[in-house]
Amino acid sequence: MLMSANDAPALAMSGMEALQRGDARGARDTFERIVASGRADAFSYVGLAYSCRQLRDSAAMVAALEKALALEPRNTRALILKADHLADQGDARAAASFYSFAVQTAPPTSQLPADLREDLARAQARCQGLAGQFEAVLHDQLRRRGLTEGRSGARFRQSLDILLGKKKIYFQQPHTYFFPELPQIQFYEREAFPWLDKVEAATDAIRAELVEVLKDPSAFQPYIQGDSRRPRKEQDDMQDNPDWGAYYLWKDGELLREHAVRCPRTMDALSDVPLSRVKSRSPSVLFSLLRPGARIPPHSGLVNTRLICHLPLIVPPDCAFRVGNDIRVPVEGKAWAFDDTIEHEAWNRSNRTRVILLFEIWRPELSEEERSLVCALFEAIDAYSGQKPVWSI
Amino acid sequence: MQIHPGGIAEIEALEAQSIRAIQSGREDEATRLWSRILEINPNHTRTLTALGQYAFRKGDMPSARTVFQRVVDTDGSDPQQWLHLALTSRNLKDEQAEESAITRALSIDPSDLLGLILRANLLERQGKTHEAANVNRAITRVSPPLDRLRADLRPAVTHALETSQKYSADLAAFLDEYLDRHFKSLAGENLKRFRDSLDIMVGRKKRYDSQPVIYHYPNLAPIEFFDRSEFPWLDEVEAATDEVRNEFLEILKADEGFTPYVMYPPDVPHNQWAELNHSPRWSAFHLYKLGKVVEENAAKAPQTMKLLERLPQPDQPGRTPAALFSLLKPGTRIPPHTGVTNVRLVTHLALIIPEDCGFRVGNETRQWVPGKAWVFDDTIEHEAWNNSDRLRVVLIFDVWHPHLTPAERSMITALTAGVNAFTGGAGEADAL
Repeated sequence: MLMSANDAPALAMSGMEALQRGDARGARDTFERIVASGRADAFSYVGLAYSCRQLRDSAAMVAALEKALALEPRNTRALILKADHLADQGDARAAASFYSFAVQTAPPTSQLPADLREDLARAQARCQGLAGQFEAVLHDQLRRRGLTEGRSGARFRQSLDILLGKKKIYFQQPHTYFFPELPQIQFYEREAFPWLDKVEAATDAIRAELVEVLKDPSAFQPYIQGDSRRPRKEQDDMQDNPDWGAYYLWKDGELLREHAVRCPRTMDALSDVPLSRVKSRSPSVLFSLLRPGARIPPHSGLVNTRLICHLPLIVPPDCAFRVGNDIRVPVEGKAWAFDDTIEHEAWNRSNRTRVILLFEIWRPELSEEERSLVCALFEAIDAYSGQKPVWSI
Repeated sequence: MQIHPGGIAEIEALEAQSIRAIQSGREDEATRLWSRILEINPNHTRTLTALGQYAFRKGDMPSARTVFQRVVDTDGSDPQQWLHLALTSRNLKDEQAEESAITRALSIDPSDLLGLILRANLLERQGKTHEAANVNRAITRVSPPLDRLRADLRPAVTHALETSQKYSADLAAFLDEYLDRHFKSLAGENLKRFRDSLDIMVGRKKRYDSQPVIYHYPNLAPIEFFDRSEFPWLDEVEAATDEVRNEFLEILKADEGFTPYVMYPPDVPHNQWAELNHSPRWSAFHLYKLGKVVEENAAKAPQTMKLLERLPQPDQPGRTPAALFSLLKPGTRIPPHTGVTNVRLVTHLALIIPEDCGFRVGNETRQWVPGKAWVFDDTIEHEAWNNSDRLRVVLIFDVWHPHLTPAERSMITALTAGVNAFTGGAGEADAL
């Protein structure tokens, strides 16, 4: 039967359906037709490989996998199938290299279908056995070189954990605007921001003002206000939810005078902070409140030209904050700056409310000229669209 | 409403019959069966939906709307129910009802593809270009690739893609004009990163990350071509061009010691090399290979070796230093690929460069100029080509990433030795 060029994707889907029905023979025929038409993509070759595996034709399966990996070297399914095959052949080390490459390059679990999630979990387990031995040898070797992890710095330790598959690589994923060539740093070194000394030194005064604000139970608003114009499923549970509340001193570039006059010492503590200033958008400065048992789900921010600073004010036990592969426990009076375009989340498992002071600063790598152009860019976008800008933290 | 357990079983039986009836075109029978179901449970959602869809297909919009309205009044938990109502309202030209039904659907699931498509369509009919652009962009983000998409949604998603592109182009033109005076007032400043950010935002450039195949070093900036000022020794390298080239020409005359650049076994997961694997079209004369001096070759290039010894060559036993003359034959293309680790960068010193050669790293394509060198991050996708009918020759060597501290470099060296100790040296070229 002749096949038109547009049929290949539909045919591939029908091949997959045949596979799901358990009709490996029919699936193989379908995929082989696509291959014969010269229109096969990695998806079709992977489908062919699955069919051949069910039919116990391992030579044909390997050939199909080669094609799939030539087209998509990071195809998770193909890598795992190939690893399984090598393991069956008794080549444990080669299998491990494919399993670990699959684990390292796989998309986030949430984006994977259930069966692939299981395969990936299995791949992870297979990696772990070998990784344990590998790690022991490496640590021994590094020690014998007279080097200790303590001296080597956080970057190297992270590189080692990534190499060993204990940590994942997280990239900046801004929703709105990406500024290139910036280092991808989860938490910045505290020493990079000497002006945080003054903010930290004012912790008690800031907390005293917060305590006054908290006496008014209606002062805090839900952090995420409903806006059905935007598809942001990741924070569904938090929409209009008072478990995560905000009391703004600055909001989207506007000073809220009524709030600011209630917190003069907080405002003063921020006077030397390089707040990012973008008309109608930034800065925002706020007390962020997280009720007992609440969890802010993993999400990533809008633009990578700013960093977010937290000054923890009221921190019960069992609170934590994760940015990328780094989980930290907030300590009252100790500030940190992080890149909110890297996936992050927070939780409060205690039975008391957690409150931090949160503010936005310019990313230190941006020059004055670059900052002024970023401002001009967003003014231009607003001028073009005539819409009220939508930013949030 | 409480339904008797026997009623539930009866409904299920009637529903099964109604599905068979409607599938085989016995519409009157299906209608009768639906009526009987609704006598038992007047709010039976699936039956009301089937009834509404039947009226919709017949073109009886008022009836369809009445039924779909009842579905959302009695249930309303599924975005699809609201979208049925929205579509019917659209056909009845009741824009207000259409809009509010779409909003209800997207409040349940803000990523509902059909909901977004209907919203974009409504906004476009209302002439709200900018609002529609936001929704069209959302459609392109939440939609699966066209070839995996339900056929009936493909035209709408295609429209969203095209409209988004057009909007981006219009926005780009507007922004270029708006920012022009800002660029002029900052003339002389290095604004490359900002220009790139603008191009990425409006889709004129792609974002490229560092994607090391083996070893990722975190917190390093992914930079395609590095600024010369990071490498003060580049002047010395360029000054030695003639000496280096003369040594190479003697080697070329002798025609010994050249090997294919890519020599992977066929079954490792670096299939980006399938085409040039073991091919003489891209060949190498190695001076340092996998961390060791290739003595018989080095002896033929004493001045080049002296130069290399003065540079910050990385130290990863079994891997690097690496330095070689790279020969790209006429009409040969090195396909896009990414390197092994971002702890080292790669330097090119251009020696023999015919016309029609090029080199791309990420977004930036450059031409080699004889006697000029550059340093790039080979873990960012890059490719090279020689479209001329003459040979292209470049001296290639590794250097440490300049943003690594001495302590970090020594840890990386120790780490590599550790990997070797674990593997006993097997598969070295394939690791770290």
